[in-house]
Amino acid sequence: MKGVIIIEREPREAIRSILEQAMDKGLLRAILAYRRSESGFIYPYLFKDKKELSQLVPISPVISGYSMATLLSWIAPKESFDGKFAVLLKPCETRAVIELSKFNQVSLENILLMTIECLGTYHVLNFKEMLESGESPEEKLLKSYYSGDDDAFRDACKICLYPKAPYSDINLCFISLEGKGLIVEILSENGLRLMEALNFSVQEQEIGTLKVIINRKKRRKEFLEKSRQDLAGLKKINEFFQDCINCHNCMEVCPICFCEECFFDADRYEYVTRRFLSWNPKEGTIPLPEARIQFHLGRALHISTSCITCGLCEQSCPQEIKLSEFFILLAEENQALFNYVPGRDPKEQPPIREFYEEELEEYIGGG
Amino acid sequence: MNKFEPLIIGFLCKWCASAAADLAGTSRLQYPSNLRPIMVNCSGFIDTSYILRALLEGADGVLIAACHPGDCHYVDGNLKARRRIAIIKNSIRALSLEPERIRFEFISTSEGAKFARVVREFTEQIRALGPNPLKGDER
Repeated sequence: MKGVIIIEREPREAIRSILEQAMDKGLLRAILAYRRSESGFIYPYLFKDKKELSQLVPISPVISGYSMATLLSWIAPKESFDGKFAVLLKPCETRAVIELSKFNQVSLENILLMTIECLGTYHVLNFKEMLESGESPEEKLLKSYYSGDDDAFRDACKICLYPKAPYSDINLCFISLEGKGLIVEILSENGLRLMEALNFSVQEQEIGTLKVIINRKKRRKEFLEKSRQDLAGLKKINEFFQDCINCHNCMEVCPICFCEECFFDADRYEYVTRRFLSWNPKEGTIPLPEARIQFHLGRALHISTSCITCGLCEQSCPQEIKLSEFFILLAEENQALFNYVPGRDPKEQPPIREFYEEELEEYIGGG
Repeated sequence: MNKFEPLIIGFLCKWCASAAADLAGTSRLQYPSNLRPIMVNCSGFIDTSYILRALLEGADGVLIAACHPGDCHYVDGNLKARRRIAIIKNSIRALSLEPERIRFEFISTSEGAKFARVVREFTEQIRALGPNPLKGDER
């Protein structure tokens, strides 16, 4: 860590004022962040004008569609405007950005990653309900952050162990100060350059971890145990996916699924008539390829080593399948195999791109 | 009732295991005819979804045979394949399915005898396991 700045102001105001000053001085030309519409809905927006910053939502209670990481891979695949581009992210989004950069989908050069401390977000449908009932989701979110009560968050958030991003330019922490201030953790040279240009005095200080995390480790273990039981064997897996309507929404929103055309939408997965006739179905049933297990397990095999367990697949599922159970279980198993943590360090290679002559001996032969 | 004859799909590297299969043939070594070999240019070409698809659509076992480490015609395709096999076996184990139905072997051009032995062993192993439940006849 390069240093810490403590600003004694309401965190949202503090974040907005940092961004305003940076835009004022020409240190930032564009900011990708959440914006509130007139109806109260929150969606990603590319801020290019200082005047618009009043609509910026620094601490969003929801990830309303695509992950910011996906948007960033559209906006800045090779280069960003002119090196003055900042993104406000949730920790899971930052980790996804790091993973995408390893697959050459985002260029980390010239982008400033500002990660906002997060204990979870609401399911987009719960968020809509809150808006309709006149509650302020933002206030409710902050209240539950400060009290450490995370029951209303998404399942994937409740067991997330990353309230801060392990790699980012700047981490904006506020939960431990309970609304009275903002702690800016500077982790990179780029971040340091920005904060010094804004005339902040950088101190050296250690920041403790949040107490919630100890609780969550236990909860994560229980969650994985439950997932393992829910998915034990073919019968249970079939039951688990029986409501799937093959809409492929989970693939569409997944920040790690970056292929232009999905493997499972390709021609090689089309079946010719003769194949259908060659199968021998039970009387009276139409033979269908086992598309669900093939799609979900196949996709998991492709992405699980880099899965950042954000749970957007589950949020986007119209059939409310508990997809995070499936993906978090496989992510945990496969990442443990290679001792890999996605988003930990942009210099680390993902397991499917790195290999050694002597390794994994137990997978050779009849093992 | 019909006796169970396992169906095994073999993804064989063109540069090593395919040639080993030829060698086994010309040396008149006997091995079971349960193997349906598919020649691939490199084991690094085999995606995990091909293996999964074979298992879901009728195979009882899948054999992947690659060059020994250091011998790959394309430098490191065999090592990539090994990582993928590790991922698919590990995932299948996590879902309480049968990782034993997938077998990964290093077989060089000169190892015709090893090829015959591996096919024999694997066929017997799958025969003992019984039909693959994943292929689901009621589909």
